[in-house]
Amino acid sequence: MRKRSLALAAVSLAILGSGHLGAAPSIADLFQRYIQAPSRVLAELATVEDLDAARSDLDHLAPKFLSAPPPRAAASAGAPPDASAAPVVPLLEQRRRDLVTFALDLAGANVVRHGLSARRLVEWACYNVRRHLPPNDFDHRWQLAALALIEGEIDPESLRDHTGHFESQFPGEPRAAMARAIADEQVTAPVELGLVSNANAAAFARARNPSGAATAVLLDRAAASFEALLKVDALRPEAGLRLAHVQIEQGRFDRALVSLDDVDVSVRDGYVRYLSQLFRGIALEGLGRSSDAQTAYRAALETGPHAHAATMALATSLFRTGQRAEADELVASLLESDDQSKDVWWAYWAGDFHLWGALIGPVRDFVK
Amino acid sequence: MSPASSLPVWASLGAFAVSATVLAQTPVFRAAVDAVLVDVEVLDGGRAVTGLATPDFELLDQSVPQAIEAGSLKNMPIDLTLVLDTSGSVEGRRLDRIKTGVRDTAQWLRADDRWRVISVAHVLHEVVPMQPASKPTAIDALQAGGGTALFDAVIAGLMRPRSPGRRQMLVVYTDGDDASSITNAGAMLDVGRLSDAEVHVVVPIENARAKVEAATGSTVPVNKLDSLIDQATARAATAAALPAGSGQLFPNEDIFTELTARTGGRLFIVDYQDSVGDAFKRILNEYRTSYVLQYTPTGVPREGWHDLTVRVKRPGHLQVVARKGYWGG
Repeated sequence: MRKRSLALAAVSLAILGSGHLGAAPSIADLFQRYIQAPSRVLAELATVEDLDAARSDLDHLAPKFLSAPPPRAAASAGAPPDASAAPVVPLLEQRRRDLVTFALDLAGANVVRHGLSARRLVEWACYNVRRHLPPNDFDHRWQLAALALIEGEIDPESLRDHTGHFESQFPGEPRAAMARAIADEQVTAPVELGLVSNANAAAFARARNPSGAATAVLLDRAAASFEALLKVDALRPEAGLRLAHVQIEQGRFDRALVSLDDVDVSVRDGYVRYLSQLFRGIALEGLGRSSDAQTAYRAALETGPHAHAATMALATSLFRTGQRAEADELVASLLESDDQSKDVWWAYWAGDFHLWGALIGPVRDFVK
Repeated sequence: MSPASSLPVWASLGAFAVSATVLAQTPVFRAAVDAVLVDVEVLDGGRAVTGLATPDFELLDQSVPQAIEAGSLKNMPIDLTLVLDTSGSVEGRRLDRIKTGVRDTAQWLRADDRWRVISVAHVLHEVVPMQPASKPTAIDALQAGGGTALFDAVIAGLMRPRSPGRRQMLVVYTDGDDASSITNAGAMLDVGRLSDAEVHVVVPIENARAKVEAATGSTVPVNKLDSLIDQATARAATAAALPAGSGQLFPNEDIFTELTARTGGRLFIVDYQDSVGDAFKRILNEYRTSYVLQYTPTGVPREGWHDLTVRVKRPGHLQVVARKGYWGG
């Protein structure tokens, strides 16, 4: 049984690269260089081997960093004062942002190799985010990125815990409701996608019995949540997609098609477009409409050429309906170049983690 | 949330009938214009029975008795597809054993046989394309890691059409667990029923030998061909030790039992310590000793699904393994 999330690996490899750059530098040194230019040290973050030690280092470093006197003003070095260069963000607030953003980026860079430690690091930083009152735009963006990271762990209990933190700072935030529904839906994730070594593994394994009553309850709850989120414009495509997936898991293929109709009229991004066509094909197949299913799979492949899931689904459907030559051709091509990076299906259960790069970027922008 | 503008690039027991009854196995395919070939394996106590002739068999197509025209095509060359679970669960010494087993298998194949190797993680790779076994391969580059798209892999292995004049078999080495297929067990069974290949499944189980020995009181030889434990033997010996309520020796046992029965193959249990190559060798040897019956369907429509029944007209508790049917044109 593998120990780390496939979805996380698939996405992280592309975002962060997989190379190690030799001996790991000290956390203090990394941090100092990070706050000068985050993008220059991102690769080095992935070389940190002991995230618990890194968290301890940050814990010691934080009070000194936050309470240190301001650096000498440029004026005192002889340069004329420049009103436009005056800090827009108070120094203490800026330092808090630097610290928690570094911690989040460090966790993100190592989440595949050190999932549990990465989560502890996120929670350490989260404490420093959520105690900030009133919350500001930075806090909101930071929490969204952190939520995506935790969703990527595919550990429903941890996700629920973290969502609670998020909600305490941003009550009524629809994204929190989405996260809770995703946590419920994650009960259907393949075991190998989860962190089997984590403290919640046993509970996760018990809960994910697909035919169990507990699973049925969670899926019902997830479906109700996704349905409610259809009313939130910004979340409607994702809510519709996930609602359809839950309905497929429940064998409610006709309802899934209705949910996907709602997705299709509003979908913009490739992730949703590909998966909605894939799910449409699966639902149609479930209704015995093979020809229509094949059309849907082909549409999915137009969005995600050579994607494993759509290719296999189409080939299997073609073979079962007697179209063996094309099925064989598709599979032969897949066997030559199957590649996880071509298929976002692997990242489905990881929630917003596929958007990690897009979500952490704006947070980094707050680091001066 | 800022959605990406485009797709991110990262991101039955073969209810082995006995005595005179049979179960179907083997590549059923057309040899001439209308002739059908049926592979049949006859076992006595798990061992292949040789020396049978055409008159010893009775073959029914859609319950209609057929005239068997020939029964000695056993030297027909083989196209072997090995499907190997190389997920994270086989990292380390288990992977080394698989590599050694695959290299050994090349020796068991004949000059006119061909083989290919498909590795299974969450993605599939044709590590060795269909080629003569004598050609060099890149087996050493095989790596373990990732999840297990097992149903997808078996389906992919089954789709390759049979080449004229060749027998086609699929040997799957797996712990039975599927974690990341987009297809499902039902689809795999359907494709198995429609395909031309005979599927054999080898399942390594931790301490399988010790469990069988403890249950039967007899010694299971180590690193001998005899160490391949029949599923029926293993099941009978270890059933009492199965976790309550599971009823399965390994994940998806019922599914893979049905798959092998539908395609005329067999399912074997091995110990993780056993030689993978020996397991493959025994399967190949038994495949070569199986019978290939040829007949031209008479009294039945050519189109559509054909149920097949094969029987041996000899006394005794002989087990007949053959494909359950085929799709006619």
